[in-house]
Amino acid sequence: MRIVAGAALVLLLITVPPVLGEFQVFLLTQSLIWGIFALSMGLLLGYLGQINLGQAAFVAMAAYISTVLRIQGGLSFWLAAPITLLATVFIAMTVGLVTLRLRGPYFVLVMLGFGEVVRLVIANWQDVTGGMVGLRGIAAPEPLLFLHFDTRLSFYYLVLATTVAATLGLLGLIRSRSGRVLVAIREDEVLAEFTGAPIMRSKVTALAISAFIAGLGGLLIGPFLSVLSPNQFSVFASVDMIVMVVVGGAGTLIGPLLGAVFLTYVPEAFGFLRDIRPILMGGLLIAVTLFLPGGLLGIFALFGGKPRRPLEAVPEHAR
Amino acid sequence: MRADAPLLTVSGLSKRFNGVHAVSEVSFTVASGEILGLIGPNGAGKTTTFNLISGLFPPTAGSVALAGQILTGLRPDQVAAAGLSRTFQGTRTFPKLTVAENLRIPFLARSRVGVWASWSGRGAGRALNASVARGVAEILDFTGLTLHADVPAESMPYARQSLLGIGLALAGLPQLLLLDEPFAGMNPGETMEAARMVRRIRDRGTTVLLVEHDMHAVMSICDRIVVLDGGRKLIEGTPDIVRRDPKVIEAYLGTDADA
Repeated sequence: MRIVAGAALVLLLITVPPVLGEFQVFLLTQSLIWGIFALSMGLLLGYLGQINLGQAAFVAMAAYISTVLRIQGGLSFWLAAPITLLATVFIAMTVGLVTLRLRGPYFVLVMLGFGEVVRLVIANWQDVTGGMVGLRGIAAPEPLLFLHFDTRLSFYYLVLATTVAATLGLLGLIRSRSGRVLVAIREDEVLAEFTGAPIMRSKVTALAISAFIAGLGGLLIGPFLSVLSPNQFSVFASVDMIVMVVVGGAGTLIGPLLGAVFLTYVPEAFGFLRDIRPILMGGLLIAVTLFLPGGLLGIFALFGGKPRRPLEAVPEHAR
Repeated sequence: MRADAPLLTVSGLSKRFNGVHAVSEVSFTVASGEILGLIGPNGAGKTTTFNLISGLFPPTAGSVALAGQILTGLRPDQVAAAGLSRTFQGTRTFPKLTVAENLRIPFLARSRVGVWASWSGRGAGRALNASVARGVAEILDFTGLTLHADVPAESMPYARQSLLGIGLALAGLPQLLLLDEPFAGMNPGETMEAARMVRRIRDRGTTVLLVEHDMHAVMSICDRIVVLDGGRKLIEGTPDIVRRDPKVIEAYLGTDADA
């Protein structure tokens, strides 16, 4: 049933865009890229039970490393991508080995600091990153075999393929042995450790996978916007991801994707409110937390949907 | 190793918290196949000793060895892998997961099967799924929770939750099980039931070390008893010897000794 619904949704996302206008394809692409970011946050928030205010730094690193490798190193997108992902995952593991030992608010604070450090390094490393002005004129990914990505529509398909792959990959992780152990650690870390779970290894692995997913989105954001600047990756970007996860429904995979779509289209419809976007995001987060702890997915459950399985239940502290 | 070598050897175990001696120079052994009770008045250092043995925190001095393997300095998950598992005071389970999902965790947590194999369900993953299903079924049967396999842990009554807590610690047939006040909060009927369970755990092949307040239960099921007082070992021996020892009566048991 779920497989059929998922396949139908993907089929819709493949067949409908060609008849949509250029701008609609742009919005759809934007939703999906943010959906990838939200998925990466969803893994931490929903399955590790940890908020990460430095998540945007992983996106920023992937975006900048790949773009610099292309512009200054002359590498193709497809060669830069694996190098970039490897570097992002390595940095995430190194950071995680230190920060994941910290509990509760201390992890959040140190990761917030990490995010700001990365942003400031990017803003001040003029020769490489272009400083506050940023990098401009980022080209679409080079053709791969017979596939071209230089139109809005073809690039959209690349993003869609990445989103589907990321979702399926995370689904596999969550259903695997490691995913179940993560849920156990989220539910009760001490008990999980005494039943034999290697806590640090599991957490560092989860952060590395989360950074990998964030990096996938980071690879795409440069060619998508054609410009990169450090202000795109402030703490507000991480907060946006958190809001997407919570609004969509934490502890699921479809929730973050749904939240990303919602938070791309709704502000677009109320374009005149753009100046107060951070306030709206904060207000939305409070409202959803108070009145709709299951997120948008919780609404479906209210209307007679099948009750959510305990493994997908929202962790106490993510409510 | 000789056949009569002790399973657990605790030697010179000491723990200071900010200068306070919680446990001082405690030494005892547990033989394979016995049920050993650790008792003492409040503040005697029972729980600290228990936590030191299970690796919750490291001792200030001394060591713990299981079947010749030094456990001191290992992380809790490594202690569990070495064959020593524990329960917690009260009930401690994964509350939102069902009973069966709870019981899968210790098997999955100890496995080293990779993500890919576990996801695809091929090769090592298939073998893992089969062995986990067997292990879970066996513990469900042993704890009598088979009928409640699909019930979320948090929605079960207290006594049944504590059975599940014990079940979590029994995965993989540990050599030694540490029970932290297994009879706390139980009525006499439930206590008898739980005491029978402790004997069945021993008969299943797991040696038991328990900390307990309920004198009646301790005296009736333990083969030997170690009495702590003020962080030191007062005496050890069979229930009969401990019950009659004047030092024990003075320190702790009082008139309860005849109960």
